[in-house]
Amino acid sequence: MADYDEAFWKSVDNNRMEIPFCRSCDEFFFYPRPFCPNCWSKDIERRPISGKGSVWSYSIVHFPHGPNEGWKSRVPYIVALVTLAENVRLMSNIVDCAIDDVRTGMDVEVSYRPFDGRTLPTFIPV
Amino acid sequence: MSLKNSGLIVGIGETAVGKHPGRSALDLQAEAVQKALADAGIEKNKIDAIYALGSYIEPTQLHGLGVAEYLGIQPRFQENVDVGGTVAFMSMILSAFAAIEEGRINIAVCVFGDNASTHRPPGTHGFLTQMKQGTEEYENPYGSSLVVSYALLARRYLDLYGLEPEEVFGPVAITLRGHAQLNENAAYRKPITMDDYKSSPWIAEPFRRLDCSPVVDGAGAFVIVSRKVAQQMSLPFAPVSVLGVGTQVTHKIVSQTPDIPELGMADAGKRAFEEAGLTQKDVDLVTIHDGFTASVPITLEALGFCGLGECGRLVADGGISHTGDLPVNTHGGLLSQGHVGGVMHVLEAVRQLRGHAGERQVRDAEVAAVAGNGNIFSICGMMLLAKGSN
Repeated sequence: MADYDEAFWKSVDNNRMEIPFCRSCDEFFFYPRPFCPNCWSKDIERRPISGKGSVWSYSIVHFPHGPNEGWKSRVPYIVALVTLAENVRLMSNIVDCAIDDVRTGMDVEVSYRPFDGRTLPTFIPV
Repeated sequence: MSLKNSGLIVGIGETAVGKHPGRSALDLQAEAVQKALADAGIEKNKIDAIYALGSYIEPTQLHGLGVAEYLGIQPRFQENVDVGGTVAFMSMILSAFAAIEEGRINIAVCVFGDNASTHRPPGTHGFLTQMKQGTEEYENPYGSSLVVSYALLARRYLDLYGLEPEEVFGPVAITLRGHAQLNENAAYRKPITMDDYKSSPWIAEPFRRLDCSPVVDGAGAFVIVSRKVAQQMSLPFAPVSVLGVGTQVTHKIVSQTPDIPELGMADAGKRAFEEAGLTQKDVDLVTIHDGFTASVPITLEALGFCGLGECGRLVADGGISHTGDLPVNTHGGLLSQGHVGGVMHVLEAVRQLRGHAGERQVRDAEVAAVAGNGNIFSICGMMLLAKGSN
C-alpha cells in the first residue's frame, strides 16, 4: 500500500476519516494521490470529513462475487456510492438500514464499524 | 488520414462458444484466426500485423508474440490491445488503418478469445475475476465486484428516469434470448418469459441472474486489408468498410463515473456519426456490448437512437428485435450468445452487412453501428460499418 493510502486508512482506524484537499483548487478529491487530479498541484493536505453525505446509488448484494470472503456470510448487504458533503463520491456500505428502506438521494452519516478485522467508514441513515 | 480510404474488413472467423476445458485461450484465438483467414482467402504468411487481446482469466504478457509464434507466422508488427470491451476492437481497427495509411502494412488480423468458463479459479464467477483495477483498496473491503459496480450504475439509471427493471432490463434479456434461438453458435438458447425474468434470482440488485452475461469459452477474429491490396485480390465475399469511429474515456472505477447523461458514449457516437456523415436514421442494426442488460438502454439513449429514459418502451414494442426498426444484438449478444469480450459484436455486424445472417438476417442491412463500453462505461466507443467498399 502506498503512503497516501496508508494515511487514509489510519485516519479511518482512528474514527476520524481524512480525505485530501487541494489548497490550489479549494476542493476536496478522492481517492488519495500525492497531487490534485484536477490541477496537478502538490499543495494538498488531509482534512477530516464532516461525516454527512447522501446516497448517489446503491446495490443490494445477494450473491457476492468479490474477493472479500467475509461478505459472503452477510447477504443481503448494501453497497452504495455516497456523495460526501465535501463533494466527493466514494464506495461504502449502508448499515443499520433494512434493504427495503435504502433509496437514492437518502441522507446518511458516517459510522465507523469493524469488518473482517479492520475498521470501515460505513454510513447509516439519518 | 481518412477512414474511408484506408482498409476493409474482408474476413471473419469464430470458434464454437461454450466449454473448451482442454484448450488454452491462445489455442482458441489461433482457431479463430485460421477461420478468418480462410474466410478471406488469405494465406498466413501474408499477415503484416497482429492486433490481439490476451486472456483476462489466465493473463500473459507479450500476448501478440505468442499468437504469432503459436500460428507459425512472423509479422512485422504485433500489439496487445487492452482497451476495454468492444472498444478494444475499434482501437485495433484504428491502429491497423493508421499503419495502412502510412504504407507500413497491407494485411492485419485482429483477435480475442478467452476460456474464462472452464479456466477460472474454482468458486469464482464472472469474466474478469482475475483482473486488478489498481484501486481495489477503495472497493474490495465493501464487498464489491464488477457486477456490483455495474449494478450501481444501473440503479442510478433507473432512478434518474423513474423506471423499474421489469420495464426495461427484462425486455432486453428476453429479446436477446430470442435472437440467440436463431444463432446456432449461441450458448443460451432456451426461450425465456417475463415470468422467468421475474423469478430469476437476485445477484446484485437491480440485477437478477438473467441481467448478467454468462461467460463462455470462445474466440473471434477478423481480417483487415488495405484497399489497394483488396483491389488486386479476388475476395470470396463483399468487403465491409469502416465509415466512422469515436471513443471517449471518462474514468476507471465506478465511484469516479460521471452521471449517466455525461458518460462518454454520447460524445463517442457524435464523433463517429460526424466522421461518417451519417445520422441515426441511416443505421440498419446495432450491436452493443451487453455485459449486463442495463448496457443496452444506457448505450442506445446516449447515442440518440431513442430519448433519455425511453428505451424501455422501444424494447417492449419489439423495436430492437431482428424484425424491428432498430435490431440490436441479432446474434444474442453477451447476454445469450455468451461473453466473448465483445469481438462477436464486430463479426455479427459484418455478417449482417454481407447478408449472411440466415434466419436472423436484417432486411436490406447496409449500415451497422457497433457500440461498446469497457469496464463500467469507463471507455465508450461507437463505429459505423457499411456494406461494400463505398
